[in-house]
Amino acid sequence: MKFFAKRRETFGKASSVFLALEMVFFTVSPALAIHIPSASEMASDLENRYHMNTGTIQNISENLNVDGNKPNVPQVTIFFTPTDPKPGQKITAKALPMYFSNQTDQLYYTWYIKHKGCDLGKGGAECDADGSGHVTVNDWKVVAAKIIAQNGFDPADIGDANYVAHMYDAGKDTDDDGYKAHFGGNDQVNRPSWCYIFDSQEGKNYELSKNGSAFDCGGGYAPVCVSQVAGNITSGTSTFGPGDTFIEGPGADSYNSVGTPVCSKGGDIAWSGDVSCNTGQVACAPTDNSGPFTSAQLRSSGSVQCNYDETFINNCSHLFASTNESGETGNGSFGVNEERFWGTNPQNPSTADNGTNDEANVVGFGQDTFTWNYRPGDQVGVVVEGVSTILTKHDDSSSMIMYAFSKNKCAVSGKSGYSVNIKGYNVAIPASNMDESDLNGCLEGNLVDPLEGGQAKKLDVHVSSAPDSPVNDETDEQSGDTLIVQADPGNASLSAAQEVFTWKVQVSDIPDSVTGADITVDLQRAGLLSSTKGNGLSSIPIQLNMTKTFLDTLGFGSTDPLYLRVSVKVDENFESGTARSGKSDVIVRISNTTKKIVAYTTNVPNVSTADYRVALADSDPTDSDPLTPICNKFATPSDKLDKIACRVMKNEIIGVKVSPDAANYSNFQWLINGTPLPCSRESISPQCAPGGTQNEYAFFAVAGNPGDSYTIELRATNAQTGKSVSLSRVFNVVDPIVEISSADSVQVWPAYLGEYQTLDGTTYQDYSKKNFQLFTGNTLRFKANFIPSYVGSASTRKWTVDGTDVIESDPAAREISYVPDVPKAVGSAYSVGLAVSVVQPVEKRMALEKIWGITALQSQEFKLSDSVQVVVAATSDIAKASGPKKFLATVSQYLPSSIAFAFRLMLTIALLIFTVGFVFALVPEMSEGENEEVIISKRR
Amino acid sequence: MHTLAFLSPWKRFAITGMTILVSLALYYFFPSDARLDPMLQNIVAGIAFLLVVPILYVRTVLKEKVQALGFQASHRRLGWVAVVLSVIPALAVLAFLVKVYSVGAHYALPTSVIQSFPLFLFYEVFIVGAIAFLYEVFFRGFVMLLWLRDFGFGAALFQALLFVGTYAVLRGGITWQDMPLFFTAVIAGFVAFYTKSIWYSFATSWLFLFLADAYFLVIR
Repeated sequence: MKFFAKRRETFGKASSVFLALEMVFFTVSPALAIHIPSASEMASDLENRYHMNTGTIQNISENLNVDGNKPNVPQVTIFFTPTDPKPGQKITAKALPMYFSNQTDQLYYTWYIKHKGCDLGKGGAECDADGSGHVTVNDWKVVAAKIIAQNGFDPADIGDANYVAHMYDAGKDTDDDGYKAHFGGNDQVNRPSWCYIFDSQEGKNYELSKNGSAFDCGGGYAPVCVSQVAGNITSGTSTFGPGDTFIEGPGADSYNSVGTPVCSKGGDIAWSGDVSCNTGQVACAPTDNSGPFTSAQLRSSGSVQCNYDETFINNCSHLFASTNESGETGNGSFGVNEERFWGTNPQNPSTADNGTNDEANVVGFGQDTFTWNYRPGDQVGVVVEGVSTILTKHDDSSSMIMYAFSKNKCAVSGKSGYSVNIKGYNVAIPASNMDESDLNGCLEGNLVDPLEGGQAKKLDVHVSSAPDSPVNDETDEQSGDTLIVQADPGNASLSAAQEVFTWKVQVSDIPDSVTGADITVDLQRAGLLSSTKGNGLSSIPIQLNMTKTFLDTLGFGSTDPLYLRVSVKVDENFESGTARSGKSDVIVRISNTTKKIVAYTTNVPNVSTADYRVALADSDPTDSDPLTPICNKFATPSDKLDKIACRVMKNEIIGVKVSPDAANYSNFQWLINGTPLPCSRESISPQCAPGGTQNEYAFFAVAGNPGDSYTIELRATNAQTGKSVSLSRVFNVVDPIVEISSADSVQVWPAYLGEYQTLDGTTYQDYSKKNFQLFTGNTLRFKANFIPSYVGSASTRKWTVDGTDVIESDPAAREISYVPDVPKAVGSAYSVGLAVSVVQPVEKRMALEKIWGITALQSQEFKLSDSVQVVVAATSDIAKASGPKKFLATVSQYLPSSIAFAFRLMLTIALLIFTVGFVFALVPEMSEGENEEVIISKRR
Repeated sequence: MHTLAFLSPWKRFAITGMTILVSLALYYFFPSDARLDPMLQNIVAGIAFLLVVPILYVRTVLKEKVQALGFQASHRRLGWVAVVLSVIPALAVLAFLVKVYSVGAHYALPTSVIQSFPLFLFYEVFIVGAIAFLYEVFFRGFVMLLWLRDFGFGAALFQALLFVGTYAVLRGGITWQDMPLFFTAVIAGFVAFYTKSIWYSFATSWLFLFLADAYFLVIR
């Protein structure tokens, strides 16, 4: 009982301690107190705490599992220039290697070229470049290497025939142009050489190693596959006949060598050392004869084992072009035999004159370009040898030396593997017994036809449009913007004029890149779009004058905004028959509205109170409109030009407003060239909104120089539709000009120059701007036209006719009406001159200075002038003539003035002398008697 | 033909006079071409009407030699004496007028001529000389020696008046600037009258104009 009591006491104490510990450690969370969490629960808790998605983690882990199979192995791509070579033309192949750790100029580029008809095992002597007697890939390499090394070298250039005949004699090679190649590139001196080849299917790199010493047969013996020679006939008749049978006895004691044993493997990499023969059986045969062998000569193969460890040896090799027994390429020695074989100058270390030794040129050191004269059917390829960025598993400083083929195609064969103990662990290394011969076998499949290209097939077309916020005019004013869409095939090989552009225009009310009605033909029919297909048609102008009627038929009448999808296809056709093409498109948001931004000149209405704020002004007081805008007509081509891009002069203040009104518009935001254009009632114009908010008015000063442009943009919200509205207007700064034109074409008219025909066959009459005509007695009625038109209101004009000042008959219209006191004769001319002085009103210049900081010095007066000649024409002259008469009249009009003047003078004198002589002849002479009387009377 | 018989006693005088007046009228009314330099047209027209017409008239209509126009060097000693004797008093009168009527203030020479002596010489020899020659041929030769040769001393005065009148009409008025030229009309007329040669009258005109220009240049 004491025992139980003591136990109970002990248990009670232990329970007390446990409870105390529990009180200390497990009072944080009642939940934890329920059970002890498992590791998976803790991991799950961590996942939940850090929001780790198990699927994502699993995905990452799976990727990590196979990450080693997706290395960035070296590759090479060839680009050709030109891509459309003509026979005999120089063509350059440029190799672009990737994923090598060497600099590109440290790599070895083994170029090879196959001319048409020089297929492997075929072709004549002209294809046997190495003189081996048959066509191999080495012939292709030799052709390319000679081109690189010789670089057009002609022995005749350096000496006479005698010199050339003996230039390759022994002892003549004095240039010391040998080059020792290093595995992996020129910069891989004294580095371990482990060559690898990538199996693109498996994603695995195989080391080029061979198990050259797999068998141990003892000294003087080598493993062979042997087959026993058949035995003798041991019974049968000596005379053979039909039905006779023979019995062959046991095999003779004679064995022929039928092959070499190989190490067989099981599975992926079976390290068991099985040795087998495809034919015969494994044996160790003496190396001092080639058989047949007797059984006594053969040793047992019982101990022969493949030994993968330590027996695999590095099988790295260069793929350089080689001579036909004239010397090894890349061994550092380039003797006279090699000089002769490669056709290089034995007395010039760099026959190619590229600063690289001849032998280095032969091995392709740094030769990333290859230029030759193209022949139809030529195919080229390149093998680039260098060091990849992938490290080997060997216990040294090596990275994988790899080869990149021009089409990156080379199937791996002879796969095996071996294990090597590194840092105490057996490391498995996959291997391939591919040697130089096997690698050369890959070259044919990597030939590239310059015409098919390893180059990009697709044209990269970029499409852009202008202006940024185009506006369509639904009204009949046809004052919409001209949308210019431009296509730029960035990687085109031909000029734009040789490329075929095919355009298509679609319209939609949503910015969708796929749907939309094709309106290309509709636009053409409406005269809003011209050609859509043609050579050199890299840009198309679309007149955004789609009327409401036009859009109604498409179901988009009064729809705002509209979206035009303009797509283009560019085709590039080469003489060889190959072609490239590219497509692209741009979706343009079009504001489709009857509202426009209208521009006005300005004045300073409250100048009397020294208030220099500006307001919209009437640009044409002669018409009935009290507030005539500028750049708002579309009667003449010049007017239309102003509608597209309003011409303004420097230091003018331009006001803009929404026309006809801004009903339903709110949230106005004016921009000038993309930056906010403020309008303040307090400081700029009483027409602006108070407090810095913006309304339908805006003002800006033209501070730019001629050639600059301003894009005024209004962004607002249409309260009815809830959509944003965007309107824009372009202003071009120009040098103002003044032109004299006829104010009355009945009295005086421009001289007819002839006709000109546009490309579409339309014929236009061409009239001179400087030469006018009138009939004798007509009034010289001229007017001054200004560009920009409103410049005239700030101008002071002085007219002259033949140097005499003439007062304007109608100053408002800026016209003169001059009647000569003595009308000039037919053929004579009047000289009409106009000198103009333009200066802004003082109050406007004050506004420029106070509001926009443009000083008075910048807005000072400037001069303009123009002059015309007015020739007095005969009534039967050009104006009313036709046919040959018109031709002669035109000729006489443009006869050089000096000749015409001299001709008139001579005719006048001749006529005078003739008339005088005629009269002189008519008057009779006096008789002698009469003559004497006259004399006598004079004496008296 | 009989209707013109009344002209027979005055045939040469009348037709020559008609030719002179018609020539001057044509010169005045001949249309200019605004596309050509006006001065060039004036010179060419002047050569045509003041030089070519008289020569053609004498050679083709009158069938006489050009000596009839004074292209002869007769009375050589008298000629040079006349030149000197006519130029000196004319210069004296001109100097007087300059003093009294401030002719110098209104007499302007081309700026380039004022500033460059070689240009001054070029101007005097070629431009002034050519103009003077044309006037001599027409007014002293054609008008005075050929047309009015029977009018004696009065011919010299008449041709001077005709010259001044014609000049005033063709130029649209006269100024003090033209005063030396009018002097030459008078003194060259006298020299031509006495010498029957326009070479001496030309020498008189040119010398007077040269000295007058030089004088004005000096007194500036």
